Amino acid sequence: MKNNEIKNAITTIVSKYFSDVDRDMLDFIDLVEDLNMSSLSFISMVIDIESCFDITISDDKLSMDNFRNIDAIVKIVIDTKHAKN
Amino acid sequence: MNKLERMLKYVSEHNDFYKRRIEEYGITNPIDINQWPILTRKELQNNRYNMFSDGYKMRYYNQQLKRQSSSGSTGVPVNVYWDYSDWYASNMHLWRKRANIYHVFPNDKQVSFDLSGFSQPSGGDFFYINAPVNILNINISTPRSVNQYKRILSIIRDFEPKWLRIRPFFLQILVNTYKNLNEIPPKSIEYIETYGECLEIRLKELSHQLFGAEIVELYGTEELNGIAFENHNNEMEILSDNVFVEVKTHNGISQNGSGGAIVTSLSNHSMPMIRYEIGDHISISSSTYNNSAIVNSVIGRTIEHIITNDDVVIAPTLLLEIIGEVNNIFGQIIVYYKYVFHQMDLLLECFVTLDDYHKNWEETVREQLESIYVKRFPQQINVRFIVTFLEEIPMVQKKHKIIEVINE
Repeated sequence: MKNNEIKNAITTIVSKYFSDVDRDMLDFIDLVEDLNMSSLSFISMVIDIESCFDITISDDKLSMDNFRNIDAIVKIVIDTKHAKN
Repeated sequence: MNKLERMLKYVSEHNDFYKRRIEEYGITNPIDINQWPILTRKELQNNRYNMFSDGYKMRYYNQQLKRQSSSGSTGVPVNVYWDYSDWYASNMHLWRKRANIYHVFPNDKQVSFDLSGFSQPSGGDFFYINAPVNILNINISTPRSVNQYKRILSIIRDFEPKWLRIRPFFLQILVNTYKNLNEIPPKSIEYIETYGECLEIRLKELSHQLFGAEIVELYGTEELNGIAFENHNNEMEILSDNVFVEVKTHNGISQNGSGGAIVTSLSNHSMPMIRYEIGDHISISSSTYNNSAIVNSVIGRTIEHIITNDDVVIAPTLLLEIIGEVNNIFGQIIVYYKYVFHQMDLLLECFVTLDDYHKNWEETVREQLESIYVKRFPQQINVRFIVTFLEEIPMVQKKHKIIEVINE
């Protein structure tokens, strides 16, 4: 899967949890500071991401700080997929 | 290095409490779990402010850690503190199971029945609140009358939850209420997860017949989060990404067999729990379906369920909380307690010892205990409640039974 495909899939997942926000704007938004992402949304989103990419994100990366924006999430997914392979 | 070894290495390098234990117990290889001593509940209570790993005490002072509290069977609260990322990781292991096995997700609509107090009334009632919007919380200590239970059923019906999170004793009450009022639960409910006490098989079957939902048991503690979770093979599979479980047998500590449960948290770095004796008596072995470790049975803390002649379950948890409530009012005035249920006479006798300074408060305490008992239990239970005061704390054995049922 190419990086832009990964980013597209992640944006689709994230937009499900923040449906009030224009999808194109998500690239520029801090999910914690700007959208006040809740613990439940965070956990749910991680489960969706893990299911989508068939990965298990390691415990040490499970922090809202690491999931503040789309690019950060893309990096975690790519790193996890590489580690898995 | 596996997760257990990584945690043991971490505490040996970053936690003064456990460094002292290494020295005290002559541990030569810190990543060998077999060399570690048991951490008792008393040690945890006495050292709860000395167990923070490097850098976490300051975060505790700055209120940057998540606190989870458990009153336990002794009524003395135990606070355990988590780094939020560890807490997410700990809960994630359970959520992955819920999602993968039962297709239940954090954002699904849920009704949670618990005993937490609310400060904000909703619609004039004080026993439910939506927080966050997909979770309906119902405070089960509040309902008393048939009308209030009826109200709970209509709230659930209007909310249309996908799943319920509930203690077995209240599930029993809910099942009884639906049957007595001849009402049908909403078809939206697909999954019911019980926690806190053991789920009786009979109750599980009744609930499944009534709700048509998966009835799943979660075994865990407030200190450690999930320990074991019922899978599709009806086995209580240990959440091995979250905890490492052993038992204390006559021959020592083992990963198989029956005995006192000894649990190591694989997730909590801020306040690590290494070989913590949680107080339950369990049996563990390997699954017949895969390589997982499973909990075969949880005999429970030294608490026996009380089941009246008309099949009503009196929750041990609530009986313990009656004591806790009186102690909250009067300031730890009850220093010993024991319940004895006389099955044939339908009599629940509460033995109590007061501290030395309040021996003359017996009538006041009796009135409070009786009053709280009446409030806590629905009118269906025809069990007489009496309070007997003991002058001195009796000699108790190590496995002191707090609730005892006498069948004769």
